Amino acid sequence: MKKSNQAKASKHENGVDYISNMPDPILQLILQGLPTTEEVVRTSVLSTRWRYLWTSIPYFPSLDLDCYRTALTPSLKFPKKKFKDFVTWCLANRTVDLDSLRLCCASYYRYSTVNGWIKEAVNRNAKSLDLKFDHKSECFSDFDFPEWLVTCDTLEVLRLNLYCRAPLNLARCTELRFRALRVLELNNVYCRNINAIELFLRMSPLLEELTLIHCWLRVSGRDRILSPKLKTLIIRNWKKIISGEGFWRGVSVSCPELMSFEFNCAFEREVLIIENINSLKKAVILPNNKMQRMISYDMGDEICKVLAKISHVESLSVNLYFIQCIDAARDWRGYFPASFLNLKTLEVTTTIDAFTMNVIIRILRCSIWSLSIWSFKRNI
Amino acid sequence: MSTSSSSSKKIVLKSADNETFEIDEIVALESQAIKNMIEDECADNVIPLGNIDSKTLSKIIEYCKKHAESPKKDDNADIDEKAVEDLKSFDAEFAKVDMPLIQDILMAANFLNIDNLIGLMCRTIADRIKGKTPEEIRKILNINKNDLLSPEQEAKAREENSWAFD
Repeated sequence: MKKSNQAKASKHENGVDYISNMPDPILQLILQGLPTTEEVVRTSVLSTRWRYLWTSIPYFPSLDLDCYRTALTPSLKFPKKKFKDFVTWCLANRTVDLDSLRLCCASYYRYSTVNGWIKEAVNRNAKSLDLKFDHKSECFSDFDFPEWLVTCDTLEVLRLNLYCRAPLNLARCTELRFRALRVLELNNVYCRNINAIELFLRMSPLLEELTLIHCWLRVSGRDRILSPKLKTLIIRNWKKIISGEGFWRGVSVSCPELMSFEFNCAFEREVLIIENINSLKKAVILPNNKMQRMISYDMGDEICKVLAKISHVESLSVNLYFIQCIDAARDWRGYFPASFLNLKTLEVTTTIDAFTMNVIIRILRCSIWSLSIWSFKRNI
Repeated sequence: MSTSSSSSKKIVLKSADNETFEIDEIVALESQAIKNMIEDECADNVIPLGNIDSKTLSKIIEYCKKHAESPKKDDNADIDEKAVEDLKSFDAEFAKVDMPLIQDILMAANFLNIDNLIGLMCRTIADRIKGKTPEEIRKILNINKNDLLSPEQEAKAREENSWAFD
């Protein structure tokens, strides 16, 4: 191998730069294979052959533009105008469909600008939108979820990160339905509407994957996660807003097709009610309680209740708090499952000591498979 | 080095270093260029490929054989998912060669007009240069040193799209 490399190298040195002699369409194909858009642009300094090549790409099948990636040093002034011109240039006046748009533009631009970009992507039948922007509204009003985003026929994946500034308001869209949406992720979104999860699920009948991370939710009574198609559900670090219109309770989950469920949130009584998740294979239950004052019989029973509903999973991940609660449970009603029929993997996100061991042994006793147990310290 | 299996029609390819390869016509038809030649009946018994060496040509034949055997998407019938997976892993293995050979295959595939193979080689090259600095890319692709931008030109190029450069 080495020899042939050297032979080739000398052949190269004597003669031609093979790649650069390729016709434009070939080099454009290579450029289109680069994962991020700025990498494509950076090829302009490779050589004179490559100088303007990227500008002739017939279209970017997918755009990935992230101002954080390109403005790593805060001391350098972010070239706002140039970035804006570029995004506009990439998106505008193309008749070809856009596969995906990932755009992170922080708080550099007014919403009217960002809105125009998203609209352009939707007009080009984007399948996937991953948007991270600060909705800098001029008058601190809500961010009205645009109707045309819901009625976009092609949109399959939508990820939104709104930095928790302006409240997201679904009011205009509640009667509309996403026609193709399968994946929805809300990150740092402050939901104006009460029981927004239920609203989103009603709007997306085909949804298979729902992720909520650091979302502010208004819940009155119980937000129902009721979906016939949902396969993956991830809820991490929700923040609750207690509104005047009712008491925060939590969520109830009823998703017969659900395969994977992660719940990583502040935990209190009746915050998580599991109704139907009979297809579940993988559960990650990492309840937390910052005060650590809530380790009580009650909380223990509460956790046992949850455990009873997921005792059919193949893989279970729990944390120290989960174990502490089980350890404290009195469980007079006998919620603790009599057996874990399918459990093959148990992951404990804390180090195993004598105290943790007690509970693990209890679980082991109830399981019929030989378990693989993983234990590690996770920084959350 | 010849390959023969059934009694189907054979095509003989001759590499730059005068090695001959006898292949089934169906395999040769993966190349749009050869297909055109055959259709226009301007293919003799032996098709000389004066700009492709035997090492490259044998790789290309390996690729075409595999792809000719696999069910085509436009067969309309339910495509066996296993066959699709199988082809994918074949492609991944196939691309594990050094850069000079990739470039040779790409040039030859372009000449023979084998779309899938062009795509595969371009993706492979993109994979190898992604996340790399311009300097590293120049080295990987062996870009001609006489063709570099002058420092002023490079500064200008960076300035034009300064957002894209760290």
